[in-house]
Amino acid sequence: MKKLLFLIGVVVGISACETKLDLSEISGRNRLVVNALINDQDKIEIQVSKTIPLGSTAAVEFVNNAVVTVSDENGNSVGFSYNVGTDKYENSVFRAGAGKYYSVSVKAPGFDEVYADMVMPGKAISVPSTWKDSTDLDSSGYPTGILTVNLNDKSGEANYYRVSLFYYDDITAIWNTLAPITRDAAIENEAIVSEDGSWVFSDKTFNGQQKSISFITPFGYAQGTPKYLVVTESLNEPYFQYFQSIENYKAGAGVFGEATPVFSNIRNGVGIWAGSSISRDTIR
Amino acid sequence: MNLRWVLAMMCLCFFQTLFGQQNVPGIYGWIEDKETGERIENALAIDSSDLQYTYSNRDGYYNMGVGSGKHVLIFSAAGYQAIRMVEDIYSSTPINIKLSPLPLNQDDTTWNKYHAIFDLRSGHTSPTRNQTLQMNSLLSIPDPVKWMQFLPGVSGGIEGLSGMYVRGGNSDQNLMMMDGLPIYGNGHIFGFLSSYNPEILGSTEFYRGVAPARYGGRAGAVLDVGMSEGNTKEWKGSFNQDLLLFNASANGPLNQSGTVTGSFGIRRTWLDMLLPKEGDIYAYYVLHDLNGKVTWRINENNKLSFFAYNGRDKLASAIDTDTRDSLNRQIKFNLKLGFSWQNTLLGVNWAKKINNRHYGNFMLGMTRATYNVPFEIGGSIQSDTSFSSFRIKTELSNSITNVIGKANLEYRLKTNAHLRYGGEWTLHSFNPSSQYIEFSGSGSATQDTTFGLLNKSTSPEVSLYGEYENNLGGGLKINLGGRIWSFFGDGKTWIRPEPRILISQILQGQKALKLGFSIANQGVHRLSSVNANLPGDIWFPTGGKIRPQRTLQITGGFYQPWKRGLEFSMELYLKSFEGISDLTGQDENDLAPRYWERMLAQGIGRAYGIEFLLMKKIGRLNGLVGYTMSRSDRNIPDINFGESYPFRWDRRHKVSFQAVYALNKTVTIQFGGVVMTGNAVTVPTGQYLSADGMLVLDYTAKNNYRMPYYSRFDFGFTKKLKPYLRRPYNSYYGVNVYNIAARNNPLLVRVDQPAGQAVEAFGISYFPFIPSGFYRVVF
Repeated sequence: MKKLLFLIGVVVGISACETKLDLSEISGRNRLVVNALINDQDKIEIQVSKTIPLGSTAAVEFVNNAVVTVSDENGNSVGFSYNVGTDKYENSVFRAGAGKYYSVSVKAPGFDEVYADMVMPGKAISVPSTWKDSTDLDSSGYPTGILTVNLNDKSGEANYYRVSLFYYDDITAIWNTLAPITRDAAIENEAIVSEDGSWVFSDKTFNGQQKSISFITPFGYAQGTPKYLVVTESLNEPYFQYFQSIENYKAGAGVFGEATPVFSNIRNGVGIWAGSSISRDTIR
Repeated sequence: MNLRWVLAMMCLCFFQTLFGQQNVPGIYGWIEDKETGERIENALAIDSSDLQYTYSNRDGYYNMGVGSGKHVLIFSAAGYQAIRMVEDIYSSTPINIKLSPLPLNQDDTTWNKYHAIFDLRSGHTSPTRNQTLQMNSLLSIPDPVKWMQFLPGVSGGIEGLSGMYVRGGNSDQNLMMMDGLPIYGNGHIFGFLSSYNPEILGSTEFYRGVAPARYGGRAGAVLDVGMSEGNTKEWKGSFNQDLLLFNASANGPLNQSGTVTGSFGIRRTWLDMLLPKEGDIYAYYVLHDLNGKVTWRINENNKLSFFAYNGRDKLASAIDTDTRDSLNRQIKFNLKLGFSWQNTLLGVNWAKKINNRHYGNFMLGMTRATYNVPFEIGGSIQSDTSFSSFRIKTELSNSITNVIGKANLEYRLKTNAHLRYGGEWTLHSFNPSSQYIEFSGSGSATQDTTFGLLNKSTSPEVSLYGEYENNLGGGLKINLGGRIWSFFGDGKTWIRPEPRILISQILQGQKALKLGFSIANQGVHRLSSVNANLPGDIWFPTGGKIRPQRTLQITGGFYQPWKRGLEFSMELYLKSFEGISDLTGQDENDLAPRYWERMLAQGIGRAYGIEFLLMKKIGRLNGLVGYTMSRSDRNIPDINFGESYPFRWDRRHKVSFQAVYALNKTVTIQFGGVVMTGNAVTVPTGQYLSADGMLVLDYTAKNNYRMPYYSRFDFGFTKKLKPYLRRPYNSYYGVNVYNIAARNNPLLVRVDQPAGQAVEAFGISYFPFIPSGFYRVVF
């Protein structure tokens, strides 16, 4: 019977074959790439580069002679200047405000003007986070704790969050990333866990409610004071879509899948112009 | 045309029925199969004296006005011996016809002549059941949808799937019907098999061109499949076994007089029966189709049919472990994952001959397509002193349900004019996506919620139609039709007129010229996960940012019967699309309000082409040869920088053929082949640095690369086994090879982006050389 099943499997099995395609005739316009993921607390940095032709192995070329302007909803504009050290355009004074509208425009010789706009998200309404030690045992018999992050979600609108957890290292006196597992089924099921260990999710399962998300903290990470730092960011929609698309891009397409492009909201170019509003909560 | 016009026509008809003269000369009656007693749809009734003609309807009923006097009448249907008779007709005269089926290998030199000329429907194809059954597809399974893929103007989409992209339209624009009810799911095994069981096919009508006004609700092609009502004289059936399925069907009289008949079919996978469905680790796949139809011919004037269909696919897998760790704690873990989708149809149909000139067909039915992905994971840790456990259960689901009421009436107005009118009411219930989540664990409260319910909605759709059909004499026939289409959704109402005009002129020398014009609207839309039709696809209504779809089509065709049963046709078409959609490539949270609005963009499109088709329906050698030269593109503001781009399944050239040849009395061989322009796919135009510091590919150009041309040839044979004496059945076996040349036809693109090296692209192809076989018993 096993031989028969094997034979049938071979006969009806669907095999995929690959043939190299010649893309030499594909020509794309050389376009500007504008990347800026900004927040309401830190200095705004805008990176401007050029797309690379498909067949090229050249390194990314940054554009250092562009005119980069950010404007608010009242038409007030500020210019940004190029920092050779970071390859980014910066303005040391200007800060974005939560809930405000901003547009960016980039003009560079040889390229069409590119632009994008967005509304910064409002601040996440966070209730102080809590931590409780020795709530359970891990597989080696060591006690684990529960860190509970509390969010008060605004009703009637789609909200997006990123929660990043850090533990304090007494010896080096720096905050290190903590990548715990969660006990929340909905978040576990839906959230994107980014490479830096942060959890990115929407409010689709708790719209308009107070949400408590429990994370299991491993043994031995909270010896000193302070113990944990909870950074809660409220993301605007383009920010969330960008995150989602990056994850899909890395995962690749399915069996019949098509191309999975990275989200872009830059008109006449590619890249991302999106923002977040940050709240920090330290557990001592 | 407006609503008042249609209402006025309906009133006129009503009063004509009540008070009109009943003695307008004409003929009417039923056309049925002499051997089985089954009524024949689409049979042709011709009054050759003045080139008038009409077709029998779904119930095999025809009604045609003729002038007073002597008439030469011809009755014909594909696969049957035509009947010619001379009758004196001075009043409304009943003539019931029994047509004798032709042996499979016998040529019919009359039908094709009549059909090609006496038919005002251009771009209309009606294959016989035998044509579909004889042409095995992938895995030796005949499939009416895959048969249609050989026709010019029809693109199958992803290879192997039962997709249909007709004359540049999206697949959600096709009205796929079974016994008059729409089917929303895409069939079985992720679409590899359509929902139509070929063994119990009654009639198949396919309109790739202009469909008459009686069809509506979709902006594209129409595939109207009717299941067999059953033999009225004796029980007949078949059993078919192939590598994937067994398929059993039977039909026959349910009472002695044959006034109640039944037709039943079941097909099911059998491999899963050999696999365990419980235990520590298991995985299996099972599909089934159940069809049932009971017809009661109450009397000469009334017929009642009840029909039901359920088709389901289920993939289930589970892992269950029970171990002890180094601390001697018992650790249990279990995981269950499944996929399940099903289509269900249920309906009742009442056919009523109201009087000699008036006939009605009334239907009440329900159609439902569901998709579910259940997932469950749980575990526990138990030591001497403690116990902790968790369990997460989720179920993602989407569905669409329609409750449908229809009335289709026909009325013979006068000698050469006919009126069809009626209406359709549909209540669409949408559940575009919802997710049930349950969590329970030691030390925490159980969470138990269903999310995404806010996207549930209902939308009524109401249509009224009228068709005025007139034999104007000299071989000129017109069908002036109109439909008032209305859709209610999201607090808005859309009401749009849909003119449908069909004109046919018979030319000297047995030729016909056919013209068509139509506008069709559509209020339901499908969001597909990829550029194909998959079971998890989501249907949603017009509303918010989503506008109704509208297609305008103009066609012109030249038809001519050739010798030896060959039908030749040439068609030109021009289509324009409004509100046609394409994927933006943007992923979305599928529980968010109206999330599809961000995953799809709507715009305009156009398609035009020329199609040549040579078909022979029966005979020792039968089949078809088709050629299409066409172009279809889209222009959607949010895609491809607002510039036009080719449709994903655009075919500049397509040559297709299929042939069945009876070598002798026991061996039949089948050939099939398709050579066509490759798919238009999206490849990156460059790379750029993302905000994360990754070098990512730039996919902003759409369908910017043409795959190498597609070429596939299939071959197979069927051998009839020597019949044993006293055994009332015949048995057959056969072998088929799909893609016998084992050519790799790239369908999808995989792009490699190795660090520090140039980007490389590879075409992925499936199905090189797939042999299969079957065994079949017919009784």
